[in-house]
Amino acid sequence: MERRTLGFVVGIAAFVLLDLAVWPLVDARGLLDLMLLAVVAVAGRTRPGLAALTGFVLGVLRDAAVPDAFGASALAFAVVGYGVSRLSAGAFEERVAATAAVLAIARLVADVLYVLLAGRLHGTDLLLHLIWWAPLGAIVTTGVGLVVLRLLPPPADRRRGGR
Amino acid sequence: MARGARSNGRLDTALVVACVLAALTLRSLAPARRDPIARAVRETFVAPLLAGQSSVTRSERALREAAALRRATDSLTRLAQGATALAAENATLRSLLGLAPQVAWGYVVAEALPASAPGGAATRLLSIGARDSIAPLSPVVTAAGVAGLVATVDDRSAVMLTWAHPDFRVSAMSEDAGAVGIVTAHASNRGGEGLLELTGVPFRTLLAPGTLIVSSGLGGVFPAGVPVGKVLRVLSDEGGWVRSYLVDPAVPLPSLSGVLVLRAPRVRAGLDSVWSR
Repeated sequence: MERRTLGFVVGIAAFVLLDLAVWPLVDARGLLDLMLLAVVAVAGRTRPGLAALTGFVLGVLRDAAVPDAFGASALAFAVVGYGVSRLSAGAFEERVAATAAVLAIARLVADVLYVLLAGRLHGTDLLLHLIWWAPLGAIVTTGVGLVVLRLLPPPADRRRGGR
Repeated sequence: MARGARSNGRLDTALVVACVLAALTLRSLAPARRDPIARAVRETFVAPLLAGQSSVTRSERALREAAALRRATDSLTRLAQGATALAAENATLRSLLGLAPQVAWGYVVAEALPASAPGGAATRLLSIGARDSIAPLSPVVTAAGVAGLVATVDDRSAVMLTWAHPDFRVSAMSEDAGAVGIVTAHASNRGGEGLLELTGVPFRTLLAPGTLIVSSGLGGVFPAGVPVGKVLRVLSDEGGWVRSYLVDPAVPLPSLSGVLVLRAPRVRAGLDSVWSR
């Protein structure tokens, strides 16, 4: 395996490990979504189908810890993975504004899809989540994502055919 | 070239459609079919991470308790030097050790590990499982009172419903047994920082704010006498027949980590003297 690819895989594994094993212990109200950053990072470098599959698998891993919402993260991350890969055309990490926009939209879409599918919040709580916590989470995830995505090694070739 | 691109595009579309359909299928499965799949994923991929999470929690708690341990050591030193007020010192040290000595037997100590999903405070993963002889519906308590109950049990882990979960119920009564009702999560719960509701209290029985609500032991899930919370105010009086009360939970969820899971024989034996100190 190429050194750069290995570095990227290790980086993604670190995101997933942190999200599942360490981040839940930090009382951050779920504002920073490290798993979503992993999905976006993969989606920015792979084909849309593979990005969707990666999102689905990482979502199932997260859902396993919250069985009464099983499938909700899987669907949200599959859609986000596909969408980011389709829209970003593999070069979004080169432009800060484009990266920020992609991260913010991805987080908002994933959050809204998850909350609606999980069905845990209703009425004013749902409204409060959609107009306050979801945008706040998007801002935090975007801010952190802009920094940590730059720590990952760049892909060997950003130009991909067949889109 | 163009044919290859079209073929790749079709493959991408097929993959995303398959993922979406699979996710929707998982989401719509009944708990009896869904739980074995979730359990398989937890036991194969998530269990090693849980072990890591459990270690991190233990380390964090050890750091937090270092000051208490230092105080305990100081107390022991003073005790050894002076050998005075032995009984009082002993009581202090026992309280530092927490709830476990009071319960004495029939329990398992576990870490209640939070999930990272939004609204995940309603469920926790426990660092114990069937190997530790716990079963579904085992009560989960802390020194402060009722924390939740075990929903599903895997070999090495278990899922716990905290009191904030919409499906959580505990049969409860006022401390003097003058009012009996059912305690559920209040509808406005968000992120596990909400309140509880005591419903079905007979209209003639009025509970003053600050009244301690404990488990009644009816239903056989929780033993009698475990604190659930304190009455805040009347929530509603439905048609003049029954009242509902807003209850401040005894166990705050954000700081929940170490818990005791009670085994069935301990529940049957009762815990009357443990919290009535």
